[in-house]
Amino acid sequence: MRIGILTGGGDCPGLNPALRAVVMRAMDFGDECVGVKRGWAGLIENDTMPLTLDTVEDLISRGGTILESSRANPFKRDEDLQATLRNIDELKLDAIVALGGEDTLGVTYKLFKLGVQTVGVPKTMDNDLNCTDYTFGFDSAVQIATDAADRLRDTARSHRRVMVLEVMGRHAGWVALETGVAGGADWILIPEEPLDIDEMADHLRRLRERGKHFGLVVVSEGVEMTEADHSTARTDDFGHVILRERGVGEFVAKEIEERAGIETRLAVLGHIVRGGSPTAFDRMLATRLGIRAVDLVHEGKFGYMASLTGNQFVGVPLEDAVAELKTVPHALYEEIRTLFK
Amino acid sequence: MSESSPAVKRIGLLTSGGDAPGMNTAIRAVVRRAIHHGVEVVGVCHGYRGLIAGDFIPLPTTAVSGIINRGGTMLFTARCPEFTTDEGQQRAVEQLRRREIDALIVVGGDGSLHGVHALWHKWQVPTVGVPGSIDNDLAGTDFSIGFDTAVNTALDAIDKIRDTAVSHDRVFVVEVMGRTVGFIALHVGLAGGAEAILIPEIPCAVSDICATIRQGRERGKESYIVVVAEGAGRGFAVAAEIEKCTGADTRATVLGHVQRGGAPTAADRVLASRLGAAAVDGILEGRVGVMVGIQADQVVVSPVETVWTRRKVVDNALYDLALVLGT
Repeated sequence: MRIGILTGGGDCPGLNPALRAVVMRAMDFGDECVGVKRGWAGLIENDTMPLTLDTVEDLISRGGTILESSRANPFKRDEDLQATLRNIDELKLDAIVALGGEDTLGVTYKLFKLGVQTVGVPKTMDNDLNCTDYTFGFDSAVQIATDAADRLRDTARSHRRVMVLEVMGRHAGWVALETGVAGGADWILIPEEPLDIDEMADHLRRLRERGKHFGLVVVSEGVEMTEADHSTARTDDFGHVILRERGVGEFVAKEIEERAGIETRLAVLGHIVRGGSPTAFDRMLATRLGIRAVDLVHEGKFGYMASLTGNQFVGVPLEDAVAELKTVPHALYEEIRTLFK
Repeated sequence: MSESSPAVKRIGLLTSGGDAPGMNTAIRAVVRRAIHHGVEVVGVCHGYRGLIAGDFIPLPTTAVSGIINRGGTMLFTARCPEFTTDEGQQRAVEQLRRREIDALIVVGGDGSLHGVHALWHKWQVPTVGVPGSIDNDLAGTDFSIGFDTAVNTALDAIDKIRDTAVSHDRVFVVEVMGRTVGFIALHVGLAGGAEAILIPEIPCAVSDICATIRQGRERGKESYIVVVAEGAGRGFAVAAEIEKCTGADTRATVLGHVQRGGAPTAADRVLASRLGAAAVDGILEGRVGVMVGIQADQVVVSPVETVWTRRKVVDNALYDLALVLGT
C-alpha cells in the first residue's frame, strides 16, 4: 500500500516519534510511506516528501514535526477540497494516516465520509480529545510548565509575591489542572469552572494571614472573563478565537493586586510548552499509537482513530472522538480543591 | 578601603534587590566560611527593610543545610526606598549596634551596592558587597551570581521554541530580562543560534531584521528566532512590527520571572561559593567598602563605587560573532 502521513494543527512533542513508528510498522507490511507536508496544506498543494527508515530512524527524541504543520482546512473552500481529492488520487494514496487534534481529526472523518480511506492518531498537548485516556504532547507540556512553576515559586517566596502562571490548553483545563497540582499551586483557574475572582482573592489573603507570604496561581488561557473579551480577538481557519490575544493572565494578575492588595507578577508560557524533547511517557504513547494506526489501516478499519483506553491500544470510531471535547469533570476539580489550603 | 580592622565577632548578612539563583548558595558560603574563622553570622530578613526593622535570625551552620541547590533566597528580599534616606540608614546602623553586629555582607545588585557604599563611607560600618544579579550589569566582576542560571533557563526555552518555529514556518520573538543591558540576550542569542539579537547597547533597526527575514524567505528559510532584551524593546511590539513588515507568521514569548527562579547551575554555585567566602575573608582582612568579584577566573575586590562609576559593556566581537553564526 501507499500510505500518506500528515501532521496537522498545533505541534507538540511526540509527533516525530509517532511518525517514526508509523513508518517502521508500515515496513513490516511492505508499505510505502509518503510524507505530506504542512498538514492538509500539503494535500491541497501537492507538497510531499518520501519517508524512509533513514528519514525517521533518529527522530525518537526530537520535538516538533519534520513534516511541518499548518491549520489549513480543506473544507473551508470547495476548490481546496477538490484539489485535495485530486491530489490524493494523483499521489495514488491507498490510505491516509493523519496525526492531529480535534480539527485535524474532524477533517479526517469528513474525508472518510467522502470515501477516502483515513485513520487518525490523536495528538494534542491540550489532552482534550475524547475516546482516548491521554494524547501525546500533554505529558511533555505539563512537565515543562511544572518546571516553570517550580522556578516561579522560588522567586515568589523571595519577594513575597503572588505569581500568576498562564498556560495553554484551549477550552479544556487539563494542562492547568495537572501543572497546578504538580507545581504546588495555591489556586487553579480552568475554563470548565465559573470564574470567581473574589473567592480566589479571599483565599490568597487568608494565606498571608496564616503566614504563607507567597502564592502561585495557575490559569488556563481559555478561562472565561466577560462577554466583551471575545469582541476584539481574531479567529483562525477553523473559526476558533485566537486565545492568546485575550490576555486572561494579565486580567487575573491585575484583579489579584486590586482585590487582595498583594504584589503580583505574571508569566505566560505560550509556545515553549509546544517544543522540546518528548518525555519518555509521550515517546511510548506516540510510538504505540503510531503502530496501532498502521494496524488499523491493514484491518480495513477506516474512519477509526488509534486510542489508549485503559492501558490497551485500540481503535475507536473517529465520529465518537470528535463529537465533543473532553473537559475536566466538576468532581475532579472539587477533589483538587482540597489542595487549596 | 581600610587596612585596619578591629576584631570582628559577628557578621550580618542580607540579600537585597531582585532575587537571583545562587543567592542561597552564597548565604551558605558566608555562614560556613565565617564559622570556619570562629565568627558568628546573623541573617537579616527582607533586605534593608529588615535591617531598619531589626528583623534578624541566627544563622548557625545547620540553618544553611540543604540550600545549596535551592533557587530564591532563604533570607527573602525587598526593595526599600526608606534606606536611601539618612534617617533610614541611621535606624539601620542603630539596629546593628544594638545586636552587636560588627560588619555586614550584602548580596544584591546595583541598588543594594549603593547601600554598601553608604554604610561604610557615611556610617563606618565595615561592609562588603557580593554581586547577585541575573542581569550581569555590574562592573568590577565578569559575572554576577544568577546570570548563568538565567541564561540557561532562557536557552532551554529557546531550544523548545525552535522546535515549534520550524514545525510551523514561523518567526518567534523571545523577550528576555536584563534591565538596561543586553548580556542575557547576547549570551542566549549566541548559545541558542538566534538569527537576530536586539540589545540596548548596539542599535539595530527592526526594519533591518525584516529585510534579512524577507531575503531568507526568498531562498527558502522560513523560521527565525529573534531575541530581544527587555531594555531594547517589547517582544509583542517587535513581533507585530515584523509580522506587518514581512508578512511572516510571527509569535512572541516573554520569558519574564521564570528566569529568576530554579536551581542554580554548577557555574553559579561555584561562583556564589567563592564570592561568599571571599566576602567573609575581606571583612576579616579589613578590605571593606568593596565588592568582591571574579575577573579572569580570579577572585578580586574593587571599590564598590566601581559599579556605578564604570559602565559594564558588552563585547562587540561577541555580538558580531553571534550574527555571523546565526545567519
